[in-house]
Parts: sequence; C-alpha cells; structure tokens
Amino acid sequence: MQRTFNYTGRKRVEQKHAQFHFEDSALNVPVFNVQWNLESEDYNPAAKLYVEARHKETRKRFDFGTVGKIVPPLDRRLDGIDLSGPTLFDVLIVDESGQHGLLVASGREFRADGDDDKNRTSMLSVRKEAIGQLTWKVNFESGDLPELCISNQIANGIEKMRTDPHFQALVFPAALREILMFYLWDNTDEDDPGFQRWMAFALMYTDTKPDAGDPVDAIAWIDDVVTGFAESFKLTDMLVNVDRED
Amino acid sequence: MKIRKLNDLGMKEFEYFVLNLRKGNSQNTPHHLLDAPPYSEEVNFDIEIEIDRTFNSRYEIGAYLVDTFKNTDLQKYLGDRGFWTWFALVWFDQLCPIKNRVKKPSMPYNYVLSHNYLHRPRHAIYMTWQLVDRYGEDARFLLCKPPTTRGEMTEVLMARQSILSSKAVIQLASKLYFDPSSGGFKKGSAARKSAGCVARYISWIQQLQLTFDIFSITTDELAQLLPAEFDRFRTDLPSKKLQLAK
Repeated sequence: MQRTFNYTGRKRVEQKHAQFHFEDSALNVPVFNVQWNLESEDYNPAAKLYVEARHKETRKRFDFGTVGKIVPPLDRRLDGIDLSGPTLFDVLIVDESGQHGLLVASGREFRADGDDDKNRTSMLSVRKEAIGQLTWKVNFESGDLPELCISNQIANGIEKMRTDPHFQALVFPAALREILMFYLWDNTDEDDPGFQRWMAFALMYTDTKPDAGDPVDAIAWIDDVVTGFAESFKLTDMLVNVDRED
Repeated sequence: MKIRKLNDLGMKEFEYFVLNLRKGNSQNTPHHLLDAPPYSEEVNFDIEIEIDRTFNSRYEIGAYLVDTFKNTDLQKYLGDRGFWTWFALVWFDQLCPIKNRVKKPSMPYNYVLSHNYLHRPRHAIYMTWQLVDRYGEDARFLLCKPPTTRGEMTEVLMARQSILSSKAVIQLASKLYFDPSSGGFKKGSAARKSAGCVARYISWIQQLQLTFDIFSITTDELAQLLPAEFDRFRTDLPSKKLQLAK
C-alpha cells in the first residue's frame, strides 16, 4: 500500500473551497472572482490569503486579505497573463506572523467554471475563449493534449459542442483533421502521450499506418481517418435528421 | 522598420532556414519574410525598431525591447509565437553562433517560439524580454553574455516557472553568482553538481517552497535561510558559517 508522509503539516485547499469564475466584463481581458468556502476554523484568521493566476511563463498574484477577513482586490483583471490558453489558479494561505512567510495551506491548478470541461482524461477538452471572429479553433499550446476553443461570444458554446448535432457534425471532422496534421507535421514525438492517444484513436478508423515522411501519403491517410470517423458517427445523417425534425 | 509579426508560413520558412543552416548549407538570412505580406502581418500598434542596432549582450536586447514597449499594451502578444519569432529573425545574425566564419545556429526553438512548453524557455527573444521586463537590472546576471551565447543558467532558472514569480529568488541568485568586476558569472556557478552551484540553488528553492511562501519573502530573509554550502559564492553577503559561529 502506498503511504504519503506530510512532514510539513501543510493543508490542502480543494476546488470545493475556492470556486473560480469569470465575471462579465467589457474589458479586453477577463476579470475573475472567487466564491470562497474555506474551513476557516482550520486556520489562523490572520493568515494571509493569496491567489496566483498563471499560464505558461506568465503569472500574477492577487491579495485576498486574510482568512478571517476575505477582501477581494478591486483589480482582478488577468492583464499580464498569456491568455492563449486556460488560466490556472493557485491558492496559498500564508502565516506571515513569523520572520518568514510560512505556507500553511495550498491548492493548485484550479480552473474557472465554464473555462473548461475539466475532464483532462478526455482527449479533447472544450473551453471558451475570446477568438475574435473565429467561431472555433484547436489550441495546441497548452503543453498538454489539444483543446477545442469555442468563441466566448457564442451563448452556451461548450454545451452546444457537447450536444448540438450542427456543431458536432460541422466542427469535429475539421478539428480531427487539424489535430492529425499537427501530430504528423509539428509534433512527431512518438513518445508524446498526446501523439500516442491520437494515433491510437485514428487507427480505430483505418487499417493502415501513416507515412509521415511522405506528405501525399499522410494527407490521404488523414482523409481515410476523417472519412471513417464521419461514417462511424453518421454525421451527415445526424445533421439531416435533426433539420427534418426541426 | 515597423514592427510586424510572422504568420504560420513565415515561421515555417524561418524554421526551414535554420534547419538548412544546421545541415551545413549556407544561405542568406531571409529578412524578406519580415515585411512581405505572405509571411508576416501587421500588429495593432505602430512602432519602429532599429534593425541594424548592434547589441553586446542579450540583456541589451531585452532592455531595448522593454524601452520600445514601455507605453504599449502587449497583452495580445504575450506568448504570441509569430510576434516574438519576428524579432529573432530581425536580429538572427547577431543571435546565431558563428564557427570558422560559418553560421551554426542552435535548435530552431531558440529562434522560432515553440508550442512545446519545455522548449519555450529557450527562445532567445521572448525569454530575454520577459526577464528584463520583470526584473530590470537584476536580470543582467542572467543575460550578460554576448547575444550568440545561450545561457545554461538562464534556461535552468526559466524552466521553473514558479521560481520566476519570486523577485527575492532572482535577486539573491544575482548576488550569489554575478561577478560585477568581470561582468560575467563567478567561477563554478554553472556547474551541475558541486556545492552551491545554480543547480543546487534551484533544488534548495524547490525544497523551500514546500514550507515557505517564496513570493512574499524578501531577499535578505531568503539570504538568512541560505545553507552554508553557498558560502563560497556569498562574497557580499555574510558567511553562514561565521553567523553560526557567532
């Protein structure tokens, strides 16, 4: 049995203790807020409460007062943060009564509600993003699996992508094509977990393996996969039937 | 020249050029990509840069860019691959090492900002700008070498994003490892395993992060916690052994 030792005595802040969300804002950059539900009796009320927002190399700290008196900072804009991917939030509770700030509790990598479907076991998470007049795009820059970004101007965009046959039939084949091209041209590291998962997925729809060194063969292979995928889910039938029902 | 950004085609061409040089082929730097519409596009501000400016160190490049953008909102271009890659192409001839009068570039991700988060800290321009923008003069020790020289120490530090958020960590590293008289690193700083080297400093910081909030700690407070193994680099700081003896 695996055992974990916690010599520091530091507590863990969980997502249920800090629900992040974005506020409606007319600004160019998103503004976040937090619904706190800390188990306050566990901490010294004077302990400081910080939130750190980050993405890739960019990071910004926000002072939320103390555990006993939480005061959100007036400026909660994510300016200075690289917004090309999902913003992650860390929570830190720090005892500053001593000589050095002692880390009493922390929680890492929280995401704001609606920013992501949070299911990182899924091969293609879906999230909202400000992408101008683009309706959707695939983001490969998270350092993880690809993400499907839906324009944040589309109401209930994430839900539509999950349930609306129009969205699914029109977006998924094109997104699949883009992802396979990425793994055959840009990120050909066969040890990359994303490469392995997407290639395994693709091989469900074709019997052959691609020749990444031959662009013509690779394009033909991607065509086979996307066609097989569309056949498997009967995407055109699905779209036609929904329109008939409407 | 007016600042622009490379598009996907421009980045591909630039990467192809770097790979071509690495194969031993000789080729003129494709500066035409910088302002040719098929390869580059306008940005949303109107600023000119001196493409013929000569820099003695990467710090000078960073300081020049920070000064250039001092009144500009760069939010949209944080992490933008085409934007930062454009500058690497502008000054490629200064960034590329030359051996026996032949250009010998390092890996493409040193010039073309990568999707891959493991490679991003190695970009010659984006990381340089970030360090100087964030730490100003304190970043000089990391960027004091000629523009052609990639700093092993810089890349080791930049690869640890959480460390970057702490001004105290960077300032103390500057005090420990920078030799103002030579304008370079103190001997032994960049060693891999010996006592007190940068790699050991990072290990120590990572251990410290489990207990302390390294963001709110001051440089003096951090120096007080520094173990004795760093004594050989504490030339302007009191020796830990002496402190203990007292």
